[in-house]
Amino acid sequence: MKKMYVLKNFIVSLVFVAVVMTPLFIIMPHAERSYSVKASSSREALESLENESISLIEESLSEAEIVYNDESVTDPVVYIEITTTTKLRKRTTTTEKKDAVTSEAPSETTTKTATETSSEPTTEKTYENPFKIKIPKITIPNLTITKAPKNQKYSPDDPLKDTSCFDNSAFIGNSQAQALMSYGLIPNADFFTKIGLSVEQALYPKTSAENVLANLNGKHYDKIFFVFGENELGWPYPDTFVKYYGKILDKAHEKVPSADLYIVSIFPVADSVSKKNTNGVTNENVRLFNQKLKELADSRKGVYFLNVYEALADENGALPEDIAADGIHFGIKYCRMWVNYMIDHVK
Amino acid sequence: MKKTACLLLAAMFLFLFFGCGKGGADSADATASDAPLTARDIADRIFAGVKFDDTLTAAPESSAMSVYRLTGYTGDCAYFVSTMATPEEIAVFKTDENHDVAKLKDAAQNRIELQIDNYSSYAPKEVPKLENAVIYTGEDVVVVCVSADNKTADSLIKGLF
Repeated sequence: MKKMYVLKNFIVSLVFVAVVMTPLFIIMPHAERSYSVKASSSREALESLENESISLIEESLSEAEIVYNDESVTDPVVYIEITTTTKLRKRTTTTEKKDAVTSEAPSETTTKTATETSSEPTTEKTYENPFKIKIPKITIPNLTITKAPKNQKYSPDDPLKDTSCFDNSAFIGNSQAQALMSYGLIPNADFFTKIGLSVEQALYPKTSAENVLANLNGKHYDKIFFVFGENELGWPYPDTFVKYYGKILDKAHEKVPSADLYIVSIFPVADSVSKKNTNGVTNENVRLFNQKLKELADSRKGVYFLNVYEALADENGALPEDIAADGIHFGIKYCRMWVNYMIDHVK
Repeated sequence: MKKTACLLLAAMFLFLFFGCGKGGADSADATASDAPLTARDIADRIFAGVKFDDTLTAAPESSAMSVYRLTGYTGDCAYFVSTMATPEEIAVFKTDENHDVAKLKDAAQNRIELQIDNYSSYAPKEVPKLENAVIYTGEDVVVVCVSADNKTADSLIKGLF
């Protein structure tokens, strides 16, 4: 009787384990699969992984550190470690992939990379690792990572270059443009700025201070520079920001048809600020918004994008920590870098 | 009794000695301060003696004239500006033939009011610095200081004149 009891329990346990373990066997093969991917960046590698119908959710990336061997840039090895809390998302429908968030000079980091964002609804199933068992690392052999070289071209100690290209120019924008004006680095340009100015306020001003575009009436500037975005990073719909920005450019062109219009990119913020993610102020959002701003540029219409971001960001895509007291507003030295970048890139 | 008297005399002598010495130092300072301070001298002393949360940078006079809306101003001025993360700044304006103390004070008050309006929505926690900003009016000078320690700034500025 006792033996029967033990046997019965054993069988029940076996069945139980079999039932419980089966989903794990479904998940684990995916997690344990080694992908052979050739890519020029870990971001590209992740995009390739998506084609395998497995993608890593952004939340899981924050727990999965993508590291690479700094000492061997030519042949690094990349591991994506799936931790016990990592979620794997399997796509069941094909969706149109949005452009990945990139900056002009993508830099490799040892932290998570942004995934694609898609406005198309997807049917997807999320498998959680319920067994709290650490799944072995996914290795990506034969992956070549090109580590972005540190930006050597602009230094905060560089002297200010010749600013004559800003003759007969105007700057329109927010506090960062106002700082540029205050430092007197471009004394030959006109500035129409306001602390905290957003594209919405510039487009639909409620006060005379916000009505910056009115200053273009009757003017014949050769170049007009626009500095917006820092105050809009928390907007839930980046496309709305871009739409308003586009309307501002249209209005500027109506008032000054002959002017070349320059969209100054949004600047990086310190990593500590980005991690706090207050009001959407993160470097991921900065890069996302900049990518969308870049799409507004059209040289045929005399609209250009100035990617000052690449001059100011460090190898991690952030503003160095000791540059700005609040991690956002930098001082005169970095403003000088900004100006030198513009001088090198305007017509 | 004699001993006490001697001690008292010695103490008086010492007090007189140090008093003279202090007076001597004051005299030396008085000689140096006979020359009027320039706007930049004043701004430098405020910058050195007052606490600021932000990084302040000496800005061109043209910037001061622009933000304080002093059209046609030709007087001696100095301007230390922040990164715009905060409204902290130092501005010193000496009178000229077109801008007396009253006009300069008006410009300063308008500037502070505009900044309160700007920072009320942008960075509300900075507004108290503006509400307690120092606007000092002297015989021929107006000094504006927005800092993290406006009380100290006020004492220091008054002590300069």
